[in-house]
Amino acid sequence: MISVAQLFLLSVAVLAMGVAVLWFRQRKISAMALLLWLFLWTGFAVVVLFPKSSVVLAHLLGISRGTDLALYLSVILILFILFRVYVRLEQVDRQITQIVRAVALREAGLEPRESQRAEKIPPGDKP
Amino acid sequence: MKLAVIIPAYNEEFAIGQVIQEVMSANLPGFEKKIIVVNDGSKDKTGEIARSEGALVVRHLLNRGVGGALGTGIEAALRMGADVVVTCDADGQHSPDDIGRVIEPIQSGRADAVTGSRMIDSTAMPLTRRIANHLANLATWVLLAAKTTDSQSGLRAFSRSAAQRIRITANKYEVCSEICGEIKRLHLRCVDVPIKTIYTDYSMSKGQGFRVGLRTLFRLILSKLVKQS
Repeated sequence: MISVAQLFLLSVAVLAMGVAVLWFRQRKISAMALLLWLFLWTGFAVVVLFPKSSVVLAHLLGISRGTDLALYLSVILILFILFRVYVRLEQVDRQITQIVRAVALREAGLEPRESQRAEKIPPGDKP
Repeated sequence: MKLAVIIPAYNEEFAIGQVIQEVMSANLPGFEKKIIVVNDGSKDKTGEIARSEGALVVRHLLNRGVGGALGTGIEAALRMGADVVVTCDADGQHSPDDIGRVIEPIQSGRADAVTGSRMIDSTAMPLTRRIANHLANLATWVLLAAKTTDSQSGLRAFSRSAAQRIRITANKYEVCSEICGEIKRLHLRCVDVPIKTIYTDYSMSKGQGFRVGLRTLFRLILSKLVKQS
């Protein structure tokens, strides 16, 4: 029989997968991210439905308890996500600097000179 | 020769006026001097004071950190046609006489980049700062393979071609080490020149303390892991 806790966790997994599909349809996430997300939550659902399955996998890796394996995996996942967020933040930070720089130079009347611009844009490519 | 002195400044209203006056009065024969103050989103009167002292003020709408400000200053200097670019701290810790010393190797064609090193004669430097600077040099060497006597110096000089080639991506203090790394990557001829450091209570309160230094190290390590784009 399925317990209340299992039912709750399963509905969380279904909800998460539903949201992921919705985001994919709205082109908020890539197909790769969607697959990864669905895979993760399917694994989660399998472990919730068949708690013994995690023990088998854990034993394969030399870990005695299934819950320990789940804990280790989630910590690794969270660290990975944190790092991804840091990298993205760093990129955004640098992009903001580029915008602030462009505005600052324009305001100071230091737009690139025509001669310097011509070096970058070959003749004929000008709009 | 056209010389651009870049002063990145964030909330430096107490020191910036005097720093500009000192740089203006520095005797540098053969150079046409232009001072560029990058007002890095200051909330005080830094910009107004710098303008009234006769500097060209380039204003960041948002505070971006010393790295972002230096990048803007160098770009401004290049667009103004500078032949030699000097960077200088806004807190008054550098002596204006030392500008002549850092641009000499470039003027004479001996170097593409010059580091004004506070560490060659560091007797006047407080012990904690001396230790911190040695550690910073070590980190720069380990992480970026760049050997230098003063990786964290704010007083540097670059030839026009060196300034054009150096790519600055760091926004904050890790820019100092990044510049050392760029000098190494581009195989620029670099000379370390001894300079004086004027330690006042004010200049000690600015710059990198222990916590900011640690954060700089952390950011430097992470920047090694992140693809530069």
